[in-house]
Amino acid sequence: MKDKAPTESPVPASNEPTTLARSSGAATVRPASFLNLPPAILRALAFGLFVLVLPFLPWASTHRDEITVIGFFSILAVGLTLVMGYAGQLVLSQAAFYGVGAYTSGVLSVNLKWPPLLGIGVGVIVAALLGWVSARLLFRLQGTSLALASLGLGIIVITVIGQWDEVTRGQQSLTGIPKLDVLGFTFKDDLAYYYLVWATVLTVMLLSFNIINSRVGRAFRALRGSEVAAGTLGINTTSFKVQVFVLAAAFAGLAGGLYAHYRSVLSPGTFNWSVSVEIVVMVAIGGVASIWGAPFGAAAVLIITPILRGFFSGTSLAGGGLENIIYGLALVVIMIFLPSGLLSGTGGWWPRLFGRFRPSHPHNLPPEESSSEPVSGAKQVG
Amino acid sequence: MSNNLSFGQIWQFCVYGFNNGAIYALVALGFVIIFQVTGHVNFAQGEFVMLGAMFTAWLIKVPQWPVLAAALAAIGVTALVSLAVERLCIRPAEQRRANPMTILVITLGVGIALRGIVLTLFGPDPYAVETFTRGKFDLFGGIVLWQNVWQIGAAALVGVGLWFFFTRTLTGRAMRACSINRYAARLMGISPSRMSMIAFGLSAVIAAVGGIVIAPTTGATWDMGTKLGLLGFVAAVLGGWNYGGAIAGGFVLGVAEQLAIGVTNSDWSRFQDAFAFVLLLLVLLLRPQGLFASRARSTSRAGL
Repeated sequence: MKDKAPTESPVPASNEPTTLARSSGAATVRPASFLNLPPAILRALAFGLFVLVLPFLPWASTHRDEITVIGFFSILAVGLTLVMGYAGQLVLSQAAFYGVGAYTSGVLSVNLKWPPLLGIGVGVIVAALLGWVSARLLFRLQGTSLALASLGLGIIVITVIGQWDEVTRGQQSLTGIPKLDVLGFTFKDDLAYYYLVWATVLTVMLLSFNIINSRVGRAFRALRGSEVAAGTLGINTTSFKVQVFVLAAAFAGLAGGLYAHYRSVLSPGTFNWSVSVEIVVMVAIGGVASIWGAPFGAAAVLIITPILRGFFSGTSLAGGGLENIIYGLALVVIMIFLPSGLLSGTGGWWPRLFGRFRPSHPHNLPPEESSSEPVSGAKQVG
Repeated sequence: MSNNLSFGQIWQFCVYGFNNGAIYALVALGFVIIFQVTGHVNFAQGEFVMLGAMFTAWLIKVPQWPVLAAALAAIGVTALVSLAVERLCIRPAEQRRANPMTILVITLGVGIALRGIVLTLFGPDPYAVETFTRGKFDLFGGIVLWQNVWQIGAAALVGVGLWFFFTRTLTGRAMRACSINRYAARLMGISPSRMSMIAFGLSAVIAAVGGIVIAPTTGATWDMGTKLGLLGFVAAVLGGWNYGGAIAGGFVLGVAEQLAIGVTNSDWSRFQDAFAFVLLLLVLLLRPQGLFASRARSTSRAGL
């Protein structure tokens, strides 16, 4: 669905180019893109317009709920992209922070009758705090062990949510969560929520772009290239990793809070560790270091899975085995052959087709995955 | 808190703990072997346990094989799967100089795919496996099932076997050399890539043994691997990522978990699934180098 985005782009550009074009100035030396707009802004505008008209397009108008859910997962995937792509850490607790945000907001508004907006805010803060505490603990582990430990953290959270009946109602589901209302406007129907969620996705993405292109972002990329080298350049590696982890946790908490007031019902299974794995699959499909890839990956997984499930219904593959096999193989194949994702890479189909929309700034490109140096451990005597 | 536990009850909980601990120790050993030799953490370790259990259970139930033949075949299949994973998934990534996170995601993918394949082949229902030896006996006032002796015995046997392998055989010593310094080992004519294959094969065999001896107690299901894998990982962290530590860590984890369930009332014991991970976080906070290692040794990957 996202590959339609570029075809929409001329519309916003021709409608409202004047101020932006003037601000970027006639003297700009940037390679000319459409109407002299910087490509990044063009892309954001195109994506924004696409999101604006999407609910009225043929297929999408009957699938607004699915597309809203894609939005929740896009927020989660953007957070994980920052952690995986820019801090170089596989983390499997994203669904747990999602759950913490959702249940904090849900419990506050059901049990204590707090207004939903306040509940969402507190949910984000609680998720970020939990992220901070767990990051301080988890980053004591060297390298790869962190992923398993974060999975353990996810299991602690889901166990507490599932068993703490008197607060979360446990397996019986938390029901009766009020719809979100802001200053008297209540988000009642699908369309209002659709716009709210996707506006949040865009905000989160823009925030992430800003971070990536800042000094902090450069530190992140140095970190991913080589942690030791980054350390010798005076980057406090642990502190940066903790910051990005906390940010991802906050994003997940925000997605959770919105989700709670969208669905009005929460059950622990929604935040199981297998959901964290699903988010990893989304990030891998979109490219671990590609913010744009995050919503693409989320859409790909959430659209393809039900189609495949329908296709194989009635066979023994339909019992959940199929998704597992496909997710698993997709992770293996993508990480071996296309570690920077399906959308990126110099030979990819995306840049060739839509070359005009490629970022002109080198810092928008995903970090180099590998060098062409020969392998040290490959062929041995012996 | 119900603090009127008699000594006998505590001892009984310890017996249960030793039981589970034996399995955790076996899984942890698998983690440690691969980590020591290749430097990777294999996320699919728990799924190898599941493969061992599922193949044994299926071979006993469907083609009615005798237990011993089924167990040996299951060990063989699991080892083959592990070797294939090393060849087809880990090696190509290493050749592309993948970073550790990439390899970890690959092993995660392998684990998920294995779960999916087993679920598709054998279905979602658990397979029951008859105990190898029926009956129970009394040990210092605690009741021990003979099946538990199989579990603890398997862990002990594997431990002794590994000790022999790593200290008395050329291959084992070559593997330890790889874990101390891969580059120097290569200069001595040791092939790290072959050692890496042996490590994957060996750890799959150990995991499969664990799966086979636990199958009669818990049954065999397609999704049993993740939890066992995680608990084995916790045991490996407790043990400081070396072989002896992994076994000790497994038993400590098993006993601690059972005692925690035993001494707490239902207000707390309902959270029992989280106990092991709380312990993990506590160890990371207080003793990140493991329960048994001194700080100096934690920097070395020498193993024993």
